[in-house]
Amino acid sequence: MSTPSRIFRTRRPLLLTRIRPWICQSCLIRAQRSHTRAVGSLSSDTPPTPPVDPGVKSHSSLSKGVNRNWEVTVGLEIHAQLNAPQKLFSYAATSFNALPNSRVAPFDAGTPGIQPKLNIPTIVPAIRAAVALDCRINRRSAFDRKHYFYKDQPNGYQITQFYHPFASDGRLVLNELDGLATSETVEVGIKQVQMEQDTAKSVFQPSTSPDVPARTLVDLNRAGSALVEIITTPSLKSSKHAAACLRKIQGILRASGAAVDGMEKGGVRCDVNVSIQEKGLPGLGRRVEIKNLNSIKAVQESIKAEIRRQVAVRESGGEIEGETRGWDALKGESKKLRRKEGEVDYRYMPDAELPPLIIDESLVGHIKSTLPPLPDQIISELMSEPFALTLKDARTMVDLDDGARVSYYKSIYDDISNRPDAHSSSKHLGKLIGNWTLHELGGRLASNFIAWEDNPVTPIQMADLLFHLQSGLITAANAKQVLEVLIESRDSNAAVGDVIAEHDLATQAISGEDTELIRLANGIVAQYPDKAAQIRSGKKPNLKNFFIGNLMRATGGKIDVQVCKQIIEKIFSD
Amino acid sequence: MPAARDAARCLQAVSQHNGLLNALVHIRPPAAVLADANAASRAPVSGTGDSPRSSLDGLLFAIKDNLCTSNMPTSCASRMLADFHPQYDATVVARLKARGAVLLGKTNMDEFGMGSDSVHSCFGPVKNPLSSEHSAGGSSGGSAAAVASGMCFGALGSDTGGSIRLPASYCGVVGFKPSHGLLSRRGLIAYANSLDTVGIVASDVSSVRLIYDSLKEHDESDPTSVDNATRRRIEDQAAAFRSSRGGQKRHWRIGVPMDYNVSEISTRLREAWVSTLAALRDLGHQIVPVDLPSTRHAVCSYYIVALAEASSNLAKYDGIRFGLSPTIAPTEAKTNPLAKITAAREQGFGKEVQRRILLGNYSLTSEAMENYFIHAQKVRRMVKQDFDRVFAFPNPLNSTSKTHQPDPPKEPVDVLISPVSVSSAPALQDVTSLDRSALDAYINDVFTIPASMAGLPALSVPIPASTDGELPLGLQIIAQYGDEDSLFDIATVVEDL
Repeated sequence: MSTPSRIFRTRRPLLLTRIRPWICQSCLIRAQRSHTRAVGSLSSDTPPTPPVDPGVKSHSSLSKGVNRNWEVTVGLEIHAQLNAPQKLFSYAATSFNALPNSRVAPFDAGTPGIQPKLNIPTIVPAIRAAVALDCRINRRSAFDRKHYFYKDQPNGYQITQFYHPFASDGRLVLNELDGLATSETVEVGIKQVQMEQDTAKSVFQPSTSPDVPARTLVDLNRAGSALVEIITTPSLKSSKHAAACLRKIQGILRASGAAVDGMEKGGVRCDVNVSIQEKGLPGLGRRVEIKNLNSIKAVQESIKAEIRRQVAVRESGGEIEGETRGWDALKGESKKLRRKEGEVDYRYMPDAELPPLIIDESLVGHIKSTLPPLPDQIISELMSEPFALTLKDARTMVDLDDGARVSYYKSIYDDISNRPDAHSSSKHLGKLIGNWTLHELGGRLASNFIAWEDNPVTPIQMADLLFHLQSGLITAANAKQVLEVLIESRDSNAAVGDVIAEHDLATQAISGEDTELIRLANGIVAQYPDKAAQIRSGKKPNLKNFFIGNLMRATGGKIDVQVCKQIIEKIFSD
Repeated sequence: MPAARDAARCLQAVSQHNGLLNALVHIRPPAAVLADANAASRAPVSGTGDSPRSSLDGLLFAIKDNLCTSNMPTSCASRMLADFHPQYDATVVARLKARGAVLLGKTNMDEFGMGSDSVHSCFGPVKNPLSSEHSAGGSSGGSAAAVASGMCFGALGSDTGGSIRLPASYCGVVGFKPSHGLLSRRGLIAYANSLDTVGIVASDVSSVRLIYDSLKEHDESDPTSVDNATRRRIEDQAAAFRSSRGGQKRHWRIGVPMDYNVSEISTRLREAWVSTLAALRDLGHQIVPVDLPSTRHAVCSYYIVALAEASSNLAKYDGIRFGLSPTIAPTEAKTNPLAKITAAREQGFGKEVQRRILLGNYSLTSEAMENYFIHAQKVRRMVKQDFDRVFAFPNPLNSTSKTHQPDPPKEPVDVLISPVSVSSAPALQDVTSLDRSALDAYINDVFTIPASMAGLPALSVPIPASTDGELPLGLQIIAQYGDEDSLFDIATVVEDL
């Protein structure tokens, strides 16, 4: 009950505003924030479109066009299938491509009289996810029922962790590594991570003829599989940041071993909450939820479109309604699913069938100590000596094929660097291997339509090849030929030395003083008198490369490029 | 009443009485029942070699229709589950069978266990075997009536807020609800899972005890089934406590909950209660008045918890996997994606079930949750603490840390004795009359609900009618969690008075 003094206290500020001239509240707050006396922005009648305050504007990460006057706030709810062999509350195996309804325990089908039983091993990948997201693991958590009717929900409710999630208060930082500007960092809070059940899949079959009515088929294989739901705080300020955040969380889930499949395989799904508020006003605008986004592109586009829509509504004097929308990726627009008043009340209730989940600190400690390095750590490592890859290459290596190239890269590096004289060359070993792994090998695999997991070139072969290159035993051009032979032959036992010998690709130890070679070079220069004249006149010195290339071709690529260069240089300096 | 041990006689009772009583809603072919009974009484139980035969060999059992049976339909007396043929036996049913018991059939009940008179059934009401004009009690009315009319040796039922004890008292048999978590609920179709227990009906205390002893095992597939280590600990604690107090033949301290002495109790029942207590005192037992102040809040809190859980547990009946699949006009299906589910539930559930689901759903809505459900859970804890304050045997489930121990009781008691309901069986005409408020039925649960909320074992023992034509009365005995032995011992004393 309110005491009289409390009522008085809440009323007093109202009285104060009455005796003063009316001041636009947003202007007042903006004035306070920028610590200036913004006399010009005080108005005495209707609240105007807020003038742009330079102080506020410079804080904003979104300064372009439509969002100039609006503060955008985005939060994400990410659902990821946990890397667990069995379902969360039944013994049925998890599956992705099994025959429909072949991975269903009685509980998954809502069979009367059958109770859930927590599959303890499923909590391990969940804890991995939470630890990787820097969350606090709550020693005691509990399961709740979230009720709604739908054909893909056999029990009429989903078991989740609404009141007491197993992990909360995590964070991650978006930065340069995530595609933000060099100086920009965004801290994203993780409100909570909870374990929950996945739903079944329903497949709509349209009517094919008048006597075959449309129907919906339900496949319970997915029903009851273990998910984690990761809820961020509303701390993202743009669609770009939201996309970066989602990408980052996916990378963390994958690297930590918590989840295997990303969005492209349906293993991760995302809902977004978007609100806009006039810049400078406290609090958040009314939020709109867009549900079931299944790609990073859809997340980014739908948020962009939703911001545009909300700004248009607000700027034409309208109000944003709290509602749930769906995204049509083909049309590039969202449509209203239900209004706030029509919102489902999920009637959350603690599930008395399931005892509270107690997670011992020693388990958390063990998982923390065995957590594989996360993408940011790997990228930073790859970008520093001795690897010294560019951000782009490091990023690519981590992103592609679940980071499989990283271990490939590192085993080549370890192999070569353990050989004597590996570092005597002027070439940077880390960069060289990076270039050959990503571009030379990666490009050739791609153009041959070979998936990375079917890469026929073993790390040992690659190390041998690059060691030859590094030691000047083969030219880069011929090393590429060897690589092609290795890919084509698909013989993982083939020795690189043998391949080089067999195809006669070894660099000949010839010096720049070799008369045979000088004669050959002079012959080539004589064939192109015009080009030679242009070099001699100093008009096009770069044409020397043309002759160097020709000389190399003429020698079958077996002469070191430096030697060829030396000879050509000598011819033109004489 | 002697226990019905002869299968042929039981079958005769079925053919004689079931048409009138409507106690059994599914009966196995008599020839099959007899064959099973003969086989079981002749041969040792399979797999036991030359070990002594089980004491349940060849005895007939009826199973409440909310316990899953693999060879009989299991409908919960609901149209919604009219076609449900489980692929498995409830754990308690499987244990009965494994010990040589023979299944007779399935018993009538209030739909999904929701009722106190077994009149809310898609099979029609159960009649009281002692007077067909009267209620058999509910919701396990069919189980009580089957035992009372000699159709079977024992029956399994379920007790959520009194559903075993009330019909047992109306029908003059013994009804027992164990501590929550000691009998497996796997295969018991949930009404309110935190309150539901499997219950046992038989004609005397020793039969109930015999049946309970053959069923009380840990079940891996029931997550609320107390594990073996805890069972051993509780049994050891209870045994040590009993022997420290002088064992079975000692003088008991019997509590009388003064808060249960409500004005609605009929004169005859109050007299029976008092005279039973007087007789016990004359045998040297001590009668101790006790206060259970949370009792007055128990009923409304019980209904909030039970109905909230019911609305959740019954959410799976959407007409997609079970129940009716009504045809919906295409236009309606288009505008309302839930139209088919709504129609299936409207047609599949009876009125009482629909009413309870609605109430339960309301108390779980975000606006009501704090005021109703959360509050009711608090009251539930208070009810349990009330009991812990009066029982001499400390609740073995309480935390062992000193900080959570309640104050030791001033005048600790071994058990509590109260009526089961406010009167003997009401007339069916009264309980089905249209102007009877749905709330009137709930008052009958006032004595049985507290033990359910606290998860305590409780038993209804009949007080035979003193004159012809009177219906039996029942007294309820409640013991501390896990102290079933004291419960049975004292029930035997009361039974023998």
